[in-house]
Amino acid sequence: MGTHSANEHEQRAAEELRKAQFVEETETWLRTDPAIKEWLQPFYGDGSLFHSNYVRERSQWADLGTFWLGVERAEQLNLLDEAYARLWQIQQKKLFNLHCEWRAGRVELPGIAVEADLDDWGDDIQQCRLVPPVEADELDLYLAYLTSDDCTDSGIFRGDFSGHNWQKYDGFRRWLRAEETGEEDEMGGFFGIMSGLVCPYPAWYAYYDQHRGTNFYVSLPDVRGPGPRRAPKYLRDKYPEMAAAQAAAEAGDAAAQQDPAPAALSVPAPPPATPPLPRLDARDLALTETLFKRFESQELLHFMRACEYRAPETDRLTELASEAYEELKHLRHPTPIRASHDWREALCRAYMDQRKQQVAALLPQVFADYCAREAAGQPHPRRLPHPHRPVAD
Amino acid sequence: MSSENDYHRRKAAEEQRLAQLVRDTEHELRTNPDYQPYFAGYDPASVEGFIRAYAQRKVHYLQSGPTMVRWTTHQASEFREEAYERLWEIQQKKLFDLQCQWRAGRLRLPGVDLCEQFHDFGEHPERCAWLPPITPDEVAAYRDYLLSDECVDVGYDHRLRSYEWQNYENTCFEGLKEATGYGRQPYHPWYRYYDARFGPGPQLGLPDVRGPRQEFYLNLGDKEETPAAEGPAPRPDPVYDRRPHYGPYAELEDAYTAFMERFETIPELMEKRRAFENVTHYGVDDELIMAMDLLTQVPELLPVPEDAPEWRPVILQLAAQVRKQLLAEALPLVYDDYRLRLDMGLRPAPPYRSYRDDDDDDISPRRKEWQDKDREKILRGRERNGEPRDFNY
Repeated sequence: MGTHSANEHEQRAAEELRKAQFVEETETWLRTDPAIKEWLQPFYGDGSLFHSNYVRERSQWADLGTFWLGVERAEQLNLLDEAYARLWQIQQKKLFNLHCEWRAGRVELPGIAVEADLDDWGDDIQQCRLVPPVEADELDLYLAYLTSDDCTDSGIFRGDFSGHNWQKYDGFRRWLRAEETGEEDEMGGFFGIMSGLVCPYPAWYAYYDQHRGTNFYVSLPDVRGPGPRRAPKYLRDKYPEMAAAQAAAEAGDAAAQQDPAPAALSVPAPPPATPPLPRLDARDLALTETLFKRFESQELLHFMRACEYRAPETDRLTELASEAYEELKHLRHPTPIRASHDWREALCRAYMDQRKQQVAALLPQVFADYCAREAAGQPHPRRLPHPHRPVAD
Repeated sequence: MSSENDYHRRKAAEEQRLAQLVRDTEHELRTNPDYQPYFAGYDPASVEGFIRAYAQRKVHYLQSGPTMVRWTTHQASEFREEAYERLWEIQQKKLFDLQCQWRAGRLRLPGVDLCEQFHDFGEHPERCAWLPPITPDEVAAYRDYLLSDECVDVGYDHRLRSYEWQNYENTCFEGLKEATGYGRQPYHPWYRYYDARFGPGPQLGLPDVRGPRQEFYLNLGDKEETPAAEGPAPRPDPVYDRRPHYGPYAELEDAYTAFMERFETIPELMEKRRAFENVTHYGVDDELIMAMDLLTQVPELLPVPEDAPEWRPVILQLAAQVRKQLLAEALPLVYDDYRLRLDMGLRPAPPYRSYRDDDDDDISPRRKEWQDKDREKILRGRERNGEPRDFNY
């Protein structure tokens, strides 16, 4: 509940009238349709009991029911999307291992001239043929990881399911080095991560390493080096002019790489005519209070004070626990909670555990469909098509 | 027109009214010269922005203000009020013991001659001048009981505490007394705790002498009151509609389903109904919402002591713990208020919100009338039994 403009109030008025009309239509229909009258014959009374109840329910189903069905379907889609994205994390790890070997100069890879080429494949993993298809035992390993406590990024505690950051060779190594030495050099810490220079090594990769004995890959020497920087593929796809500039730069076009110096201003800018007027803040509560005191009632002032009070900010964990609660409260199945020194952490974990279970339950079918496409030689989509997906996608 | 329809049309009219109010307020601020000095010297575009926001805020405060004010007041006093009510559970116990002894003929109480008077005292225990005041020992005992596992009626919903403290007939104690009224409530845990702490033991083990005797004299005094039936001739048997309420369907919900299958035209309405019912009928109630509300405000770590198969009871339990703590802290404070009034020679404040509007001093005239009628019947019964017209039985 918040403030609404006059137009918004009018839209709401129109919405209410629409609902009133729907009610009227339903009432008329129930009352006049002869087939319905006949159907109501065995009922006590003149049918008005059924009419009034059904009118009310029908309104709620058509209105709120539509909304909640949408929420339900969005959530199911969300689960499916997460399951599908997770399947490709298997391929990302295999590609990353190969990536490490390539940086170490131990292998040549077709179509890979520079580091950025491998980064691009990370973005387009569904089409990448540098690594063999997913195997059943790899899926089993992934499922074990998913249901373990090592995996902490599901649902509202979203991880990176985008594919943009799974081949960050240099970023991972900086992070691992910092972890090892226990130092936060100037690249490390919060700023390092925010700038993208330091990337936490994915928990899935660490799990894989632990169970398959592959942790030597990321420690192989870096022989080839990072090579020229390139904007990520998904950005180049979105902004073609960036792609063009990038291509020119990489082609070693000296002329293109020299930025012409901006033309010097030959005419000095005219001085401002008068200093601009100060701006009134639309949310100026002090002025609002002054005006209320002068022109409005004491009662309205009291209301304002009650409405505008903001409780002290809750910390992040409390916020997360509230979010977890909002999701948990809709679940019909019993959802266990584990002992913990902090109930908020326990609630978050309860949400996460049950969500991972739901995703894990979807993976076998997702994998089966993947194998079917592989066998038929069909390409894999970036996202699974689905009848409930909004058309805009 | 149905009430459903009315509701939407009323809401539509309300939204229109609010839209107009927003516009009127904007107009007022733009044109009324009294406002202009406050806007002088500011950039006009920003003033316009302020005016629009101000109008929206004003309407928002008028709409939401009353609820917000009620809520903040309620929050501040919630625990003190409940603590004060609970303080009086001490007096209820003492009163109940007196009732048992009175019924057993062990003592007389000034002005008490009918069993039902104890019901009145239960509603207004502060009026019982002959009830010994609450002592600090009793407060300490109650506090211990409150914090113990034996106290299980702590929660947001005050109906958890809907025990009838003086309902002797309905109270049962295994091995000691059966319920003899139309209802049944077990001997209250607080009563047990008090007995264990202060002795000598449950007084409801004493025989109920006055109850049956009152009943005897009432019936005796009541007979021959009603004249021989000489009423109008018996009416002919009216024609009853014997059709079942929902025709061939056991429940209204089943009738809906059948109706929808046969007649409905809205696509997916069954799915929408299911989604709607899934959300509204399961898993969320006021108690849980208020539990979360309370827990997110607690400024200290609260552990989940052990794994549990379902998270909801854990949250409710934690919130109950917090409530108990807050109530226990408020108890000494409300006891001080109680003592202060007694020391000043004043009657203590009435404990129960529901009865606070009652007449200051006495039961309602209607109830007094009924009781006086009963007294008359008893005295007549005594007379008819050849005994003196008094209450010394």
